[in-house]
Amino acid sequence: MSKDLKKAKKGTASVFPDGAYDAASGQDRVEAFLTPELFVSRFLWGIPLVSPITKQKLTNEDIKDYINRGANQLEFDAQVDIFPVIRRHRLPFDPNLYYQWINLEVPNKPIQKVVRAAICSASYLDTGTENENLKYPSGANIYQLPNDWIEMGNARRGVLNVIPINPAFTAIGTGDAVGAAGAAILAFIGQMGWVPSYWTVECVHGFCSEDGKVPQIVNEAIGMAAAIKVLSNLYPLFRITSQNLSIDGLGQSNTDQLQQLLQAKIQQLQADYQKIVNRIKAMVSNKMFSSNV
Amino acid sequence: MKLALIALKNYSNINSFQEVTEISLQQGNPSTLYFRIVDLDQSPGDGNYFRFVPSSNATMTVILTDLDINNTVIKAASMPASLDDRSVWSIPILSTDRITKNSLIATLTTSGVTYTIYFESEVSQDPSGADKFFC
Repeated sequence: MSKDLKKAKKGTASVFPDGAYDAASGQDRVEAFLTPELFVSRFLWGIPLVSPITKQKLTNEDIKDYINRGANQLEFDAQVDIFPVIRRHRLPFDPNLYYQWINLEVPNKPIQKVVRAAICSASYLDTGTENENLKYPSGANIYQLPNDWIEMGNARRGVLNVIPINPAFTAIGTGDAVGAAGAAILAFIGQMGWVPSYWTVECVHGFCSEDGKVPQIVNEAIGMAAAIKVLSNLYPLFRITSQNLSIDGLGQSNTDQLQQLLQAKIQQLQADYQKIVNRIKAMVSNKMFSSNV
Repeated sequence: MKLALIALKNYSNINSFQEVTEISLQQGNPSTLYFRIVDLDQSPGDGNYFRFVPSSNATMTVILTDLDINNTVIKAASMPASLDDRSVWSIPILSTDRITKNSLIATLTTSGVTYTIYFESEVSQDPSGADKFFC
């Protein structure tokens, strides 16, 4: 499950706040993942988490489940990885992007570290690599780019470039590649057209390299998504919202506004959640598009 | 039988502690993590579970896993009150240990049977020091 990340290439700056590499103390921007207690105090303060019909209470275990569902929804809605995950991408060879310093846009964002960028075969059988025994084996390593060449300046937006300025005259790739003279492959593949699944890029994705810590704004979005789910379950349970009692000329009317209040809160949370999701998406996405279409 | 571990907070003795669904540890500060073995298949309700008491010569190791294999540590767990309650165990957390979210997996050997047990409580790192400002 674990991987040796000692040689993985780190980003040049933090993912959050965007581009920072040092910060003055005073304002906490990163915090522990949302706990049930914190979730209730931030998003459901003052709201009775009890079914008005069965009187069943929402336990901390239940709230944990709601938070987990909220986090998963945010990952899907914003198309970002929150907790660290190592992904293996098979990206196509595109001659236009190749000539732009091997511009590789990885579909998942943000990138924390690059474990390796390589050209791998489709087959992993009988290649003699340890991969064969893994659950998700990689293809045989034909040529591995030295991590020194990988430009990490736009990694948090999912863009990697290969800029072999420093060691270009001496390096010939890394030793564990199948073909030791693999550097030559970079010279002639420029003549080729489009090749699917050509580059193999393995990256550590996620907002935080330290698991368990998230930007406060991400906790805010997770909390909102979870609170919408809690309130959506709660508000239809209020069966009696108004009562009328009349005896001859005497009448009494009672109206319970709680259901409407909860409904209004859900709508407000939905609008706020959408705004934050858009901001998170914008934080890790690109406005530039480059291809041969 | 489905075993799991529940973290214990403010443990001082076998009569004084709280079972918690979430516990955070400060990385860089040595501490002791206490936990209890429970059986998820046996519950009196309200999210509580009956404890599981292993044999007196039971052994347990806990792996602090990490995405980076260089940070993975294996620790031997011990029973702080082996005479009174063998469901309670603890591991020392060193200042050099890296704490990541839900990264603990225990292996319990009791009466010749080995169980792999996961934490039911969330164990996470409490951001401290310079880590609070950016990531």
